[in-house]
Amino acid sequence: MSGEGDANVFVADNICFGFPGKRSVLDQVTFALKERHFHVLVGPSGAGKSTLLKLCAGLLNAKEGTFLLNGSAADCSQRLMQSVYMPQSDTLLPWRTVLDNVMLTLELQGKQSAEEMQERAMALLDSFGLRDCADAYPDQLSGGMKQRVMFARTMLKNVPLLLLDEPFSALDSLTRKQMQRWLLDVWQRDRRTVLMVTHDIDEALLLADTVLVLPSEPGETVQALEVTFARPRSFELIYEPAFVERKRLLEHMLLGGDNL
Amino acid sequence: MTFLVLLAVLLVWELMVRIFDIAPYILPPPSDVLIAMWDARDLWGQHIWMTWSEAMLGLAISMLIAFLMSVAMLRSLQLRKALYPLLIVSQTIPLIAISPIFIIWFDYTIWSKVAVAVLWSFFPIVISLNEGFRSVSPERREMMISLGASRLQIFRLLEWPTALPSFFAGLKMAAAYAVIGATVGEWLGAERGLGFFARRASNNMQTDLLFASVFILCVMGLLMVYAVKYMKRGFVR
Ligand SMILES: Nc1ncnc2c1ncn2[C@@H]1O[C@H](COP(=O)(O)OP(=O)(O)O)[C@@H](O)[C@H]1O
Ligand SMILES: [Mg+2]
Repeated sequence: MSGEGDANVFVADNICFGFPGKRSVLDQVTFALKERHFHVLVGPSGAGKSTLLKLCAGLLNAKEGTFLLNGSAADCSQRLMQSVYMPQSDTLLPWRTVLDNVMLTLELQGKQSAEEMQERAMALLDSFGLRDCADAYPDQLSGGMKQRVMFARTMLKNVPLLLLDEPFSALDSLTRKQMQRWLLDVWQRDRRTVLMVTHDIDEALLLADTVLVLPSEPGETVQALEVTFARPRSFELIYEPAFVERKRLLEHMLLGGDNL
Repeated sequence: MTFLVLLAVLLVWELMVRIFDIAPYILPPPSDVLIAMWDARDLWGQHIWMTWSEAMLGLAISMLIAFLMSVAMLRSLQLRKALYPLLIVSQTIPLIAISPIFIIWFDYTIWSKVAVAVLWSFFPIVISLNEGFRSVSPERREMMISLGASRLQIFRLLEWPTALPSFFAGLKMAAAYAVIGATVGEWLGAERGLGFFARRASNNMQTDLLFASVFILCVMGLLMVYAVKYMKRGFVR
């Protein structure tokens, strides 16, 4: 869906970062996120994808470089206010029901009455296909269901930028496909700017408007690959020659050109 | 089942003492212990109340200090790095050897016994509370921060609930330890309390009364452990 509103809402400009006492993880990382586009970040493990997402979220402070939100520099607290980060692992609170887990987002803001919060959370659970498990505890849910609850909790924070760290990595491949379809569906309605990390190349190409490739060695540039398949996308897409061609290109970018 | 085993043990004990004709000051039969307990029924109240008060006060003070210390260690990494090894090492101190110092400091007042009860019950609480706080996953913390949680909200909604099961596990142990501590304190220097009573009985070779007070102490410790267990149900799913 390129063409409409291609403004860069979020820019990372020459970001450098390293954990104290370790060699640098990210060096001069530069990329831009377009408004209401779905961006997928791929790269070898250990390349610093999670670290980069936490930097974007304002959870970490860059050593050098600036982040721009709608054109103006954004420090940690501004990034914290304008984005939401969903970590990779299971972060549901096991002592809270599904409804209470989702309501946490509103509870932390503390602006609404209990009934209002409940109503909003319930409405979202409904549209996410979770109405029936509102009173269940997380340990009673399947992996896919848990992931949906985490999405609901994350998306209830009303911010323009969603930062998703490998949301499907813990799921079996079938559930994963269902969840990709589900996420496409949810996102199509929601249409916020997304930056999502994944390991899965098919997943990246199915979901993304733009795939960003984080290099394995700090210092190399982040490459971007535009994915222009029409939306809504079907799962049959992965068998089409145009898809295979993109996939070849992306694998080439990830692994380098020297084939065996 | 446990009850049956206990009954069997008492029965064997009774029989052994009678068959081998063991002198009552060496090992009185359970029936003698019961009779002695009954004969001394007017005495127990004040001693039980004393030990109970010391143990409860000690436990409460332990909880307070342990809580403050654990929260400080949760907030400051430097403090945790400095104190945690000391806490672990302090586990190896023979508590009974340093208990007399409190009798020297606080004399025969109730506070010397409370202090010994604190000494005995403090470590299980502070260590379990620390383990609890440390088990908070960094990802959950990041999730809370990203959702806009304040420091206080993170504590109230994430850190404290995560630490709660571990805290209660420690408290259960500490409850029994507080009774032991109070008794040790009384043994070392007191004018009232089950520890004092047991010591006097022991000095007078009234072994039946010694066993009677030990029995009452066991029941008291058990009651405290069960009280904690019961309390836990209200807090932890
Ligand atoms: N909290 C941390 N402290 C120290 N080093 C870390 C920390 N988190 C990640 N790292 C290191 O930073 C590098 C990048 O990690 P990460 O961003 O998780 O990579 P990715 O998500 O791409 O797999 C790794 O080498 C990892 O060991
Ligand atoms: Mg990662």
